[in-house]
Amino acid sequence: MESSSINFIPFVSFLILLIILISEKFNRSIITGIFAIFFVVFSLIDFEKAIESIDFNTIGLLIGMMIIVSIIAKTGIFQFLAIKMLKLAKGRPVRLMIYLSLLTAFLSAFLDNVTTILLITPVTLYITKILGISAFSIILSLIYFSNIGGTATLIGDPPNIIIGSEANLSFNDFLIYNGPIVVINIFISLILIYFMFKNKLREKKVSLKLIKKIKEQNLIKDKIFLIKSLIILFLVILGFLTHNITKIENSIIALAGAFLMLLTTTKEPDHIYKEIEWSSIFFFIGLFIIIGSIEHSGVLDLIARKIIDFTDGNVELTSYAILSFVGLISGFVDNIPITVVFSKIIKEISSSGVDIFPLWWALSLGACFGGNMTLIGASANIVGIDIYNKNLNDNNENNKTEKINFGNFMKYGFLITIISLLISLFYLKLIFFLNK
Amino acid sequence: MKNLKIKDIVEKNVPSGGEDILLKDALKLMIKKKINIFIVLDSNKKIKGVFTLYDLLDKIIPFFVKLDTTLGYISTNEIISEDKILKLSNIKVKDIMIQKVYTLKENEEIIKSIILMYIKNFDYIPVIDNKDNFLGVVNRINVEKKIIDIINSFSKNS
Repeated sequence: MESSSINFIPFVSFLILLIILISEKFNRSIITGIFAIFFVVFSLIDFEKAIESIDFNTIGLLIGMMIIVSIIAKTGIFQFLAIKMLKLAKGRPVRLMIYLSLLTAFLSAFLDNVTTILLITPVTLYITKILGISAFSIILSLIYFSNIGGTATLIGDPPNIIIGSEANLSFNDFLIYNGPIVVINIFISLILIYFMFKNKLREKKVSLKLIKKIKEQNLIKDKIFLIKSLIILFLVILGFLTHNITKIENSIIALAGAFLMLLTTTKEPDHIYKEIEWSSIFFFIGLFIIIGSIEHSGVLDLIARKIIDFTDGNVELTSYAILSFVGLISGFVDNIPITVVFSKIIKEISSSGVDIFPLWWALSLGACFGGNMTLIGASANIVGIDIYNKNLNDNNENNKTEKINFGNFMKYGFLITIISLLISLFYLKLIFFLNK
Repeated sequence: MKNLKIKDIVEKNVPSGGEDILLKDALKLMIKKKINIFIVLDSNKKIKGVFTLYDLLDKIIPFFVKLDTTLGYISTNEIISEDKILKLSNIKVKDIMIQKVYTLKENEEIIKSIILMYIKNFDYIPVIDNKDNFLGVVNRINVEKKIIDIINSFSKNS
C-alpha cells in the first residue's frame, strides 16, 4: 500500500484513546466503546467489517473462563491452599513468602491474574495478621508472581488469549514455549525477592500451636461442589491439551466447561452471569473494532515495513525489538491494546517473508512480564495494592507499616521486570537463534 | 393495618445523648435499656446520627474478613488487634455514628416502616415529630406485636 493511500485518522484516534486510558479518567470499557461507535458512525470502518473484526474466539474463551473461575472461587480451595502453605512454612515468614509466591504463580497460570490476587490477598493479610508480621513484602511478591505465572499458559493472561487466537497457537504451544522461561523466571525472581525482602521479614518466633489451631478444612463448605468443579476444570484443561487432536476451538472448550459447571452446580445461573466481567468484555469488543479499522487503514503495514527496515529483516533483532519495546511500554500502557495492535503488526510482517513464529513469543513475554514494571502495569497490581492499603488504613497501622505506592512498587518491580526481560531475551536467543 | 400510624408503635425508651458521649458510656446505656441502637442528638433534640451494634462490629472486624467472609470460618483471637479494642474505649459516639439516617414521621403509616425494615434490613428506624424532633424508634418487636394484635382482633371478630 502506498503511503499516499494510508488513512492515519484511525491510528491517531487509537493513540488518543491510549492517552485517555493512561489518564484513567474514564472507565476503559466505556471510553473504548464510545471510540468504537465513533469509528462506525464516521465510517472509519463499515458495520460488517466491524462485526468481522470482533474475535469471538477470544471473547468466548474469556467468558467461559470467567464463569468457570467465578464458580471455583466459591469453593474455598484457594484460601484452603494458602493456609496449607502457612502450615508447610511452619509460620516462618521468608519461607511463607516463597511458598505463597509459588502458589500464586501456579494459580495464575490457570486463573486470570486479577482473580488470583483477589482470592489470595485477603487470606494472606489474615495470615500475616496472625503471625504479627508486615504484609508489605509478601503482597508485593504475590503480585509480581501472579504476572509471571500468568505468562505460562494460554489462559493465564489476556495477552496470551489474544496471541493464541491471532497466531493460532494452542495451550500446548504456550506450555512448551513459555513454560520453561516462566519456570526459569520464577526461580530467578525467588532469589531476587529473597534478597530484596529478607530484611523486611524478620524471623519471628511463632507459636506452632496457634498455627495448628487454624482449621482450614472449614473453608471448604461443600466438598461435593468442590469435587465437581475440580473435575470439570480438569476436563477443560484436558480439552486445551488435546486441542491439536480434537481441533475443537479453545472458546468452545471453555464455554462447554462453563455450561457443564453451571449445569452441575446451580439451577439459577443468573448470579454467576452477573460475575462475568462485562466491563472487560466490552473493552475487548471495542478494541477489536478500533484495531480492525486501523488494520484496513494501511498504517500497520507501514509500521511493519518500518520495523523490517529498522532491523533489516532480521527476525532475531525484530524479536528483541518487540520484546523490549512491548515489555517497557506495558509498564505504563494497558498491555491488552498493545498486544492486539502488535498481533496485527506481526501478521503484516509475515507478508514480507520473515519467519514470524519467534515474534509471537517475544510479544507474549514482553506484554506479560512487562506488567510488573509499575503499579499501573497490570490490573492485578492495582487490585492487590488497593486491598493492601485499605487494610492498612482499616487497622490504623499507617505509622508502623509501609504503604505501597508508585515509587516503592517500581523500586522492586523495575528490577524484576528488567531481569525478566533480559532472561527472556537470552531464552529467545537460545531456543530460536542459537544455531543460526 | 389500615390507618395505623407510626406513633402507635413507637418505642420511646431509647438511649440517646450528645455527640461527645464516650462510646463505652453509650454502650452501657444500650445494655441497660436492652436495645441495640443509640441516637445521637444535638442540643435542639434533632438527630445528628445513630449507631448500632453493627457499626461497632464494623470497627472491630478486620478489612480482609469483610472482603473475604469465608475467612470468618477460621477466625482466631489474633485477627483482632488489642489496639483496636483499646482504642474503642476512648472514642466518642460522634466518631462512630452514621450520619445518613433514615427517619419516619410519627404520622406516617406503619406499612412504611414494615417495608423499610424489609428492603433495608433495618432493625430500628428513628421516628421524628412534625418539627423534626426525635421521638423514639420503631423496632421489629413492636411491629411484630402490632401484627399479633391485628391477628388476634381478626380472630375475635370472626
